[in-house]
Amino acid sequence: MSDRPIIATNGVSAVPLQRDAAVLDFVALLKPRVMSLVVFTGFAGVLVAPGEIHPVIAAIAILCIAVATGASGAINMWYERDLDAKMERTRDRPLPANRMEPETALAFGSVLAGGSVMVMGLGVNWTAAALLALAIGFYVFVYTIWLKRRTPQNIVIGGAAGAFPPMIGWAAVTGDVSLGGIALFALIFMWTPPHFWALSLYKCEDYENASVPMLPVVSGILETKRQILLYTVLLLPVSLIPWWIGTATLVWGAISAVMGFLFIAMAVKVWFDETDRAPQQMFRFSLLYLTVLFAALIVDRLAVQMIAG
Amino acid sequence: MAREISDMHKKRRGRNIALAVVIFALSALFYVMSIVRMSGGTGS
Repeated sequence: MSDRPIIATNGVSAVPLQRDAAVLDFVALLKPRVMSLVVFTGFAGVLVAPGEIHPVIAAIAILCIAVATGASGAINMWYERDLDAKMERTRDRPLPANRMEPETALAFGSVLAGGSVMVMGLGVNWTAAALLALAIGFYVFVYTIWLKRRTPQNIVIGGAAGAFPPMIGWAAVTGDVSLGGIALFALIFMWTPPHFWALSLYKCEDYENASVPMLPVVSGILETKRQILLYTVLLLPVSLIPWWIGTATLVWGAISAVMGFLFIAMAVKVWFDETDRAPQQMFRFSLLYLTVLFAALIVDRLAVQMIAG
Repeated sequence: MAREISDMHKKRRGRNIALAVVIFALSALFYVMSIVRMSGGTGS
């Protein structure tokens, strides 16, 4: 199929699609790897929140969080298709690779976003639905459209969107926003910058090519390493708040502390390493860190319930 | 020309099937939600 632009009847140039969008292209729009971690933290929020929830309602809440996350990813891919085309990491996504029309991705994401909020409201409660809508709006309008192309602090502020799911899961059970949910929000909020900055350290050239003002591009490698170290140190006390307020036990607090110190050790290693190896290790460890903390939270709560019951 | 029409029909059929699946799934979801909520199994 030719890649030469054709002129449509309204005078707009259009490149023919490589092929029709496949089911896997729609799945790719949803950013499934991001979705899995987000859903896991949302699930932890549901389980850890005080109170009872019917298992079917809990499943619907988690499904809505998953769909909303995917929807946000699809809209993000629609908006950033020009950047994605310039970056090696993302140029094979459905839109820059011309396997799907942009309008299809936007419509797909928008319908999923609206639908997930409505189902959350009707099936669970409107507090959780409002938080879900806020998370979607924050990710799309604040992070993707407003901050990402304008400031190196894009990931610090915009990362709040990824911190909402456990709070949404919590609100699904309790019907309100309380300290436990906020503590879990704060944990992911403080984790997000070192997680993404570790990635941006070894993908710096990619971001530079796309003119995205990530911290290494704007302020340099050394400043980014300094900020990574700072945030991992700040993350440690924040990660202990769930234990401190009674949401989790001392055992969980100990696990959190150990993982926190390991995270700081990784940041120190990044500081001294001139190569991409330490940032890559730190990025992978950051995923492990969050998974272990939230898995331990789930096990902790189940253990408490078993002992109490 | 006949091949283009056939491709168009296949695309349209695929989308219609996908839409039907989505509508059915949503209907089932709302049905289950209603049953659960009517039986008193609410979140909050």
